[in-house]
Amino acid sequence: MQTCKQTGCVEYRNLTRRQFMGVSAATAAVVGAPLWLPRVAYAGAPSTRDVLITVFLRGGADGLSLCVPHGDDGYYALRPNLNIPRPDSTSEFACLDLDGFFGIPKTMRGICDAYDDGDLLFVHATGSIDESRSHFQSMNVMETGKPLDPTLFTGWVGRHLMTIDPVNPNAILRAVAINSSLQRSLAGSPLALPVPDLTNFGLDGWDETMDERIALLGSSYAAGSPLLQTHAANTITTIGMLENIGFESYAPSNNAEYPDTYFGTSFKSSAALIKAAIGVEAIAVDIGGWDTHADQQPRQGYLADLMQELADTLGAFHADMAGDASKNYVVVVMSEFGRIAYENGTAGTDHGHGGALICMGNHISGGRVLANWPGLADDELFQGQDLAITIDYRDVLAEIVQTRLGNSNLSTVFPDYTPAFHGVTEA
Amino acid sequence: MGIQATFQRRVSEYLQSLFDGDPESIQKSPLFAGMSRRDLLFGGGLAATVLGASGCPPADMAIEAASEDDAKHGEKGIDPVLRRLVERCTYGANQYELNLAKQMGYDEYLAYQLDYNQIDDSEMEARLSGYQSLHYSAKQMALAGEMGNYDVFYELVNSTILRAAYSKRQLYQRMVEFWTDHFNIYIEKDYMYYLKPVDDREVIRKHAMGTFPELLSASGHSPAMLVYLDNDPSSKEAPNQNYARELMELHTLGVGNFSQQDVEEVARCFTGWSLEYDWESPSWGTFKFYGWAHDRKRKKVLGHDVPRRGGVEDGQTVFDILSKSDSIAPICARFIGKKIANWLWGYDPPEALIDSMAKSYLGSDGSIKKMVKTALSHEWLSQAQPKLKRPFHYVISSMRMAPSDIPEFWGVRYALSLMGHEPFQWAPPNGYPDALQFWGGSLMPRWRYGALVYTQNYSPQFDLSKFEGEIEPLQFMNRLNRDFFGGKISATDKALLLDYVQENPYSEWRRKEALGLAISCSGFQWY
Repeated sequence: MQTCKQTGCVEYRNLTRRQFMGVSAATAAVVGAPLWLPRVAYAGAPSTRDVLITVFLRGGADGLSLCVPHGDDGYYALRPNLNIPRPDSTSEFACLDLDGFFGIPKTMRGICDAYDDGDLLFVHATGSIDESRSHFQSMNVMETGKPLDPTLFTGWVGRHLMTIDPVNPNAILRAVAINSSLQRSLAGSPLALPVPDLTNFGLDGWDETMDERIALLGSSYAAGSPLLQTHAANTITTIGMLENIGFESYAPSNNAEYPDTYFGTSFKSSAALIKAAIGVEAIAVDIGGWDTHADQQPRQGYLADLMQELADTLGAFHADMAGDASKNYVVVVMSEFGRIAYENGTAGTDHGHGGALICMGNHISGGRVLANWPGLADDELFQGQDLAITIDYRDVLAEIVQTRLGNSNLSTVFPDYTPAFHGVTEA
Repeated sequence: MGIQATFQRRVSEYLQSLFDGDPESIQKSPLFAGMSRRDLLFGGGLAATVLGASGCPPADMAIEAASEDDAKHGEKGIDPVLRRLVERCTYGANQYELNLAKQMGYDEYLAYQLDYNQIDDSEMEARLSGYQSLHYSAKQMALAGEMGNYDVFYELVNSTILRAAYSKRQLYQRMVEFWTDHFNIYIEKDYMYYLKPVDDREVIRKHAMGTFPELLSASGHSPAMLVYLDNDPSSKEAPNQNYARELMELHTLGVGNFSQQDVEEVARCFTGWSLEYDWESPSWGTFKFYGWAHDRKRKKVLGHDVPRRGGVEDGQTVFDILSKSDSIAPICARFIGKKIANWLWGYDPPEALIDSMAKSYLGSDGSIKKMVKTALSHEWLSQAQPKLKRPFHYVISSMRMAPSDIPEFWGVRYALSLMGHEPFQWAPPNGYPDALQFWGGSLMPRWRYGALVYTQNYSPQFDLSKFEGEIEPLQFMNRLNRDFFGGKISATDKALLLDYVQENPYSEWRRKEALGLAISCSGFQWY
């Protein structure tokens, strides 16, 4: 049987982490601070609070492919064609065993190091209690953190940041959406801005008149509609701040190699941003394409490639951040719903209910799969067709908010809900 | 607040001198004396943070500013509600449209825009004469694409930009954009490059001002939609629910107005709805019903029976239940009416307006024109607030203010992609949002577009001759106000821009920068 440990990605293992850290420490001692560090220090006192990175898998990711319940015969009965074979199978697509019951597809081997180091946790049979099977309603519920309240626009991360002092009192940017617009989870956040490309945020045109032009826009918006004033002010202050971080020359620690995709690059820039310690507390990243109604291809092809992009990115980020152990972070990967447990007739799966969630961080109690597995037999399925939810996703997020983000205002962050903690974070 | 208050006082003093008509004092204006650029920048930022946190309701500054400014300038006497009508009907109220509206008056101008096919648009058609693929069948598109050219894709996107910018049928183009989002199709899926252009022509543009039931049915028969929402492989053995669900949730009723059981039943009604797959056939890529794949058993949809032994008509029965039946159509009418009101009237339309919209729908068998007319009526528009231009609207309005004759639009496409608003590139089926909260936070891409569009070798290249040559800064500003702002530039923006060109009155470069700054300014983002 192949396990995650035995097959950990070869590239990561050529050098041990200890060697990597020795090398980078020596280099730093000789040449001084790396070039990409901000030339102006914005950093305040060091904080032990984690920087939160939320990843939303848009479209409803198939939890049964991301974290395979190979120990449940029901899985193979419901997915005769769209399964990942058992770890002891002779198939070249046999999954990598995690704990004797769950496994991951081989294309996700990029996360093996993080899992083996105890920094990566799967939570299974989880999700939001919303039953609509609608992408948009389910996303709203997950990102606002409160089911079906049309009057609530703010997101759970937004309310978290609203109800806690900034890590750095001088911070001019507390939350970043690596996106062309703010995700709903960040709505309401103080000092939040969408920055589609962190490496390139500024005004084009002639350098000589740059400051003058920015000043003019600042004055125009300050006197203009109140609805755009804050956005404009945040934008302008952020220009200078991001300019001071040399994203272009950022060299990841441990030779971590991020996939050369928008998602991969977003994480690479996020690592630079966190290491620069300018007071950013939350980063939101999206990756779409998970709505696999037809031709899902979990073993090889469409979904397999998408899962690989996700895993390689998380793996690279984990290796990169290990180079600076003083920077605490937590990544939470979620999706609006899982997919129907049985495959449909078009080699895909339709909108379902329960799914899987991934937490990764240097204070996550990982290296395991957290699940109160409901089973996949007919009478165990939700509405006769879906993986049931036995852990509300808010339990996981609330525990992180309280223990890793230092915010105990859980009734504001997740209104009308009393979360139960499951030991997601290290005691 | 201190710096900001000082600044505003200086602006108003300055404007006073401007209107007193003393050019000497304007030239020597001490507007920014003693205040460095940095002061302005950070002062503005500081003040904005404070103001923004107060959560002021949106003030209808545009209308007030308009009337004040109109009295002083060329646009004498245009009724602010009429101006708003022109702004809501078009992608930019330029001189041509404003003059037209003034000549016609409110009701006649609205009727003119509604009867769009009576508007002579031959100039537009001449501009598009080289766009062969706009008339192709799916098969012809695919044959062209097989040869490795992307013309069918670029011609679709470029013609969309061109039509929005320069067609005289402006309200019609605005409704085309609305329905393109409502019946969203992501063009990067499968062979959508060949199917979406047909959908654009035969569904969206054909019915944009027709009736909703006809539009709905056309969309459901559209191979592009069936492929996009995975209905094409749906059969009685394996019904796919994707189209069935979005048909009710996004196209007609809204979430909460149907059950999962309805989704399953509707999916059965549409089994076998697909397209001609035979590549040898000249009708490749057209709608085709596969009877053998159709579930002929009895179904029940939203309380209505769909009898057994049905064939292709089951799908039409569903469209009729949704858009015409006594029990369900009122829900559909409110859902569609509210969305059109949000588009044309403004954010969060009041219940009374939604009621009127639904009434217009139900009293006219779903006439889109009737609903549009209600949303844009003088009674309602006089109560409307400014809306934020979405990036597409913003870019197109910048094009309408300084015309270009060069039909080459890669730069515009690129700018739109940076702003996250390239036509046909929204992947999920709900279409680009029509919400301030969604677009308002992303100003930088707008400013970057403004910084490049009139100064660089950008496509399209604009005719800026009116702003070049030996003209005084004040004259430059008046032209800018007239052409870009329809005469209603805000006092602050005007003072800022005038100061910018006065800094060095002989610099053509600076004036082009000022044009880009003008469209980046706060006032230009609203309509």
